[in-house]
Amino acid sequence: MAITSLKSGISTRSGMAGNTLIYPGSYESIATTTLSSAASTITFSSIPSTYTHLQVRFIGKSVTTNGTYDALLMRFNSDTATNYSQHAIIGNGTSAVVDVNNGVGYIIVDPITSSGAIANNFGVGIIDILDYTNTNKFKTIKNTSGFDNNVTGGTNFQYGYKTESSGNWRSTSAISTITFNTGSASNFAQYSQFALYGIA
Amino acid sequence: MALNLFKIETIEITNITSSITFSNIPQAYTDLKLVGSVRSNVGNPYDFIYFYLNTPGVGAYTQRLIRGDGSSVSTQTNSVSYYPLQMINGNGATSNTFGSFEVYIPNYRGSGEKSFSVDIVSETNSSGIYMDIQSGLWNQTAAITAMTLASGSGLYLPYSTFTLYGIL
Repeated sequence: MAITSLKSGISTRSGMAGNTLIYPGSYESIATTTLSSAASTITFSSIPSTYTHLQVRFIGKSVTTNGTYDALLMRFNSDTATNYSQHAIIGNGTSAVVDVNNGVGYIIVDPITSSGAIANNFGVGIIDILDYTNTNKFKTIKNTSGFDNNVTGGTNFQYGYKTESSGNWRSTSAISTITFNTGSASNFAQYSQFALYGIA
Repeated sequence: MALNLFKIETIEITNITSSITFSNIPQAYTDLKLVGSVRSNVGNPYDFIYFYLNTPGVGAYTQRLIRGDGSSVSTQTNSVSYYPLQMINGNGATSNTFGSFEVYIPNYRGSGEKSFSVDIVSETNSSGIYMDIQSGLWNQTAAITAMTLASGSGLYLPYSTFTLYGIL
């Protein structure tokens, strides 16, 4: 007899004789936000504390027309104080540089595209947050993200770039809310999508 | 559809210790993923980990990496008898900060030499931190049944965690 988890959708077999046990996976969708219209903020709230780690997967675009990209800003538990830091390696196809932002009011998860990019082109990224409920730790993230604007060659960051970054929130509080905004304070464009997963 | 990710084991450090081992790794998955949130008691802001597959001292490891240190980007290659998993946070780093890393090992039961990828950060609110993306190779063809992570210059501090997942 197959048993399907309403939460994960994973089917398992019963433990009755003759069946091989298949255990539910450790990676579960908590929530997904897909914008049906432009919005200034994307928030995941009331995040369950029952997982070990969190992961966010996103495609994002802002409506600013200033250039081809925008920054993605991340905050925890509505804390807007200067309790965050961020470091990054950024490559644009020709050169690699670093970016450092300490004592700021957000983690810069760079980049997403903007309305100056080609149509239907979204920045993409994956963010890992380990031990998000551990009250003995400040919270560290790892991020890999980037975009390409369909330009061959060139050294201009407007053509696209790749970022590997880390960030830290200097708080031992368990993370219960994650908020995303754009660096330009513009709205996120329609169809931007952010998915939050819990990892057991 | 949910990613077919299955927790095999979590090891949380409760007393300072020099080494942890995942043994008897099930041979039922396609890939392995190891994540860690780790701090050592060395007085420096940074430390590293001796990473071994199966039996420490058997085989050799090669490594290529791209590194950001807060002021520049560099690259290096290493060939040693252990895989240097670097950098994690030492006790000289901002209090309560832990290094984060992930090791991804595809086809860990395959008959070829074992390749893996690593991303690791030692994030703090100081300018000079290390962030690496790495690729590694273990020149042995045995299926991976164990992995050992021995602390580098210091010892693992409490609340450090290591979690091993199997992926179908």
